[in-house]
Amino acid sequence: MSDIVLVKSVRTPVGRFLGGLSQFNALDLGAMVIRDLMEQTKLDPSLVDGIICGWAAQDYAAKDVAREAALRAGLPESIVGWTVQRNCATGMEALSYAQTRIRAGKGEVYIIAGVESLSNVPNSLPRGIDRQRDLLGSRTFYDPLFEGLTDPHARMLMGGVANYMAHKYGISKQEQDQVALWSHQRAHEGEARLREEMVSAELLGTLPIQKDEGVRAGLTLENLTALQPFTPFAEQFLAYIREQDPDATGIPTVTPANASQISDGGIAALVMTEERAKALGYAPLAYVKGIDFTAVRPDHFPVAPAYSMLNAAKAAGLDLKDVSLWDINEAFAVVPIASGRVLREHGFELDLENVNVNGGACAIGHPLGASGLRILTTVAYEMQRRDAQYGMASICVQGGLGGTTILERR
Amino acid sequence: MDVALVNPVRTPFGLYMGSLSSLNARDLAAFCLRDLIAKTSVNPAEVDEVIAGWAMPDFYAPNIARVAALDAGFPESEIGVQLTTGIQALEYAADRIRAGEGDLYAVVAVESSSAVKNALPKTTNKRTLLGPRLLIDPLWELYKQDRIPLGAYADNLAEQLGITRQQQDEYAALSHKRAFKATKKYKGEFTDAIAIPDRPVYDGMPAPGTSTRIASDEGVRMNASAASFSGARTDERFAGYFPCAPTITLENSAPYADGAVAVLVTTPERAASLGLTATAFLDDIIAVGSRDPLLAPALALEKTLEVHGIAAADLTAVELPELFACQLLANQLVLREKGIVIPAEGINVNGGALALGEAYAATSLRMVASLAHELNRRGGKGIAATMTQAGVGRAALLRR
Repeated sequence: MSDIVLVKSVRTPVGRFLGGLSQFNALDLGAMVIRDLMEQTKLDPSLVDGIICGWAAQDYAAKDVAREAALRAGLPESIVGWTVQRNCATGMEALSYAQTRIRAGKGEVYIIAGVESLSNVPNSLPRGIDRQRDLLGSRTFYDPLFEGLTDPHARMLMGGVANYMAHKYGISKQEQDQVALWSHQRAHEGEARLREEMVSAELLGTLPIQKDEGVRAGLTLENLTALQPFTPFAEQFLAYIREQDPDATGIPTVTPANASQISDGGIAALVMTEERAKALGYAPLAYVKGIDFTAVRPDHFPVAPAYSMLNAAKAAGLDLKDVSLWDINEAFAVVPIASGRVLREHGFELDLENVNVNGGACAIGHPLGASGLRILTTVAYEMQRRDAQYGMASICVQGGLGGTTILERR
Repeated sequence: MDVALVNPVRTPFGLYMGSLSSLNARDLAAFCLRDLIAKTSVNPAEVDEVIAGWAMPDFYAPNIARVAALDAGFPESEIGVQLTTGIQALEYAADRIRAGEGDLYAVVAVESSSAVKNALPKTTNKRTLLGPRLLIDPLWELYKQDRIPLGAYADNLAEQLGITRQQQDEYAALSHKRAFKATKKYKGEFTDAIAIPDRPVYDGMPAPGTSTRIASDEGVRMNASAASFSGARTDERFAGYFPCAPTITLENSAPYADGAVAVLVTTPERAASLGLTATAFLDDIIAVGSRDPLLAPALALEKTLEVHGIAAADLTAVELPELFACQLLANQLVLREKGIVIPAEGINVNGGALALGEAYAATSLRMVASLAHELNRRGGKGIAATMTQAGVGRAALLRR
């Protein structure tokens, strides 16, 4: 079976919620990054076998964002696409499905993308259908974003589950604040490095923001310590543990600052078989060594990356000790910490020094459908700089999933 | 590698704001999956993954494949992925099997038009801070291409190809007649009667007591005739886009619908080891992109015949979309012009969306399911050429 390589990946800076990228919807962002990718790689559009685009918070901005963004980016009208959705692993799923298509013999060259414009998720009003109730009286506008951040089975906001995991693994607020602080410091120091994975300088110059908008330069541990746990998270977490045991007590630890930010962003990448990359004269950025998705209980999603990393390593025949660089998405600062605790239970000591070395979602932000591809891109570029052999990108997913991609440099 | 479709099953389709409107897509998908598992007696833990198609997704079910699977009794290890439409979900499953990544998938396609909420854009722009704001209907927005409603394209297409109002009305009546006959004959293709709690779609708590049971497609009319459709007024919403005499009415276009379809996708070996019989085999799915919003299915069908070296005469049954009676007739005409003649008795033999309703993601998988059942009866090869979105036609080549 032919090996699959990541040739190039480009992204927009990540914008804050209602911030610098909010004038662009998901389709705009997708078209922008795909066009830039095509220009930078100078790929003949007729060679593209398809486009797979992830988009988590889908709305009416596009029917099939993959195809529509590709058309708008100037690809021929014969281009066909797939829009995929696996919540926070959506961007990683785009890579996974490209790999599946190539393995199934359905083409060799794919554009993959992940887009999200959480600023543009519209509020929504159910159609009135209950005559007795809806013809008289006030009606509520829903916020799908808020709804989407609530687990339908655990019936808790993601932050409630993060609190629950911090409670279960005994992770203090201070530990989480420290990880969040590193995230900002590293992303600030790594600004030039993060710039390398972004769109061309010309395009960047036309955007309202030129760097990841959420990164705060002068942040101190005192700033973070001063923040109180976010009340809705705390209340849901306490109610949840009391549901299981009426006498249970717990200390809420998750604040808005040790959680990821709500963001906008787009990313696109070119993947193909090794042979095709050679024939076209592309130097691979990284080889895709393995992709894994693993599901655990919905109320344990912050530790799902650990189980997924273990499964991914096993399937690839690797020892976790062989991996020198990691990105574990900081949907909450508790995620890399708790995942590390689970890995410790399995005999592996995860050194947070090698995790999210250029900052994570606490600082950069978390554009849901783009994040999976963003973290593996960040790992790939850093592997190149360090000449690391193996890197791992792992993401936790609402609903209890973990997704992991192992990249290799040869 | 051969890909087997086992036991395609679907809920009855309800009309927009009709009998299924107190359920949302999550309810429908879970119900349909549960029924698929019950009918096939497969252990959900053995299913490699649930793959869903949902064209108008909402965050009440983020990744509906996993949400509905857990609702339907699948174990927590079930992962799930959501694509845009049913035939894409099927394609995804077939790709996974051909890539050697698994051999047992549950594919579910669902749509609840009734549960699609109206949308109010956030005020992200200073210009919208002052002045009235438009409450958008995504159902209507998704019915457009390049800001023109598909019905306007249909009106124009009818004029260009000389398809008369009479022909359209006659075909619409035929669709109802065929669907009415099929509903009575082929009960095995349906889920069990679906119990509908009497509560609105967006409320989590069922109202106490009442529920009704729905056992057949709501849109099908037993006494449909061209004469009874001839009095309908043409649809004003489609007027003014193209210079043409309008012929599209509510009667000769498909109504919005709610419903779900599910099928097991596996290999013949795995099916045998599970004691299951394939309803049909999926040879390939081929997608064609075009700029034309309504004629892409014909192009996809043409390409499928070409790629697989099959003649039209070799097909025992064909499914074509019926978003409008005009669309079906136009696709037929275009194929005939290309020398691909499929006898009218072989197209949509059990009725189509004109009678059953258009439930976007669910409709494309319903067409494949319906074809699979028909081939199981007739034998031979068949193609379900569906219209996905943004000018893409996707055709599934099936055989017994």
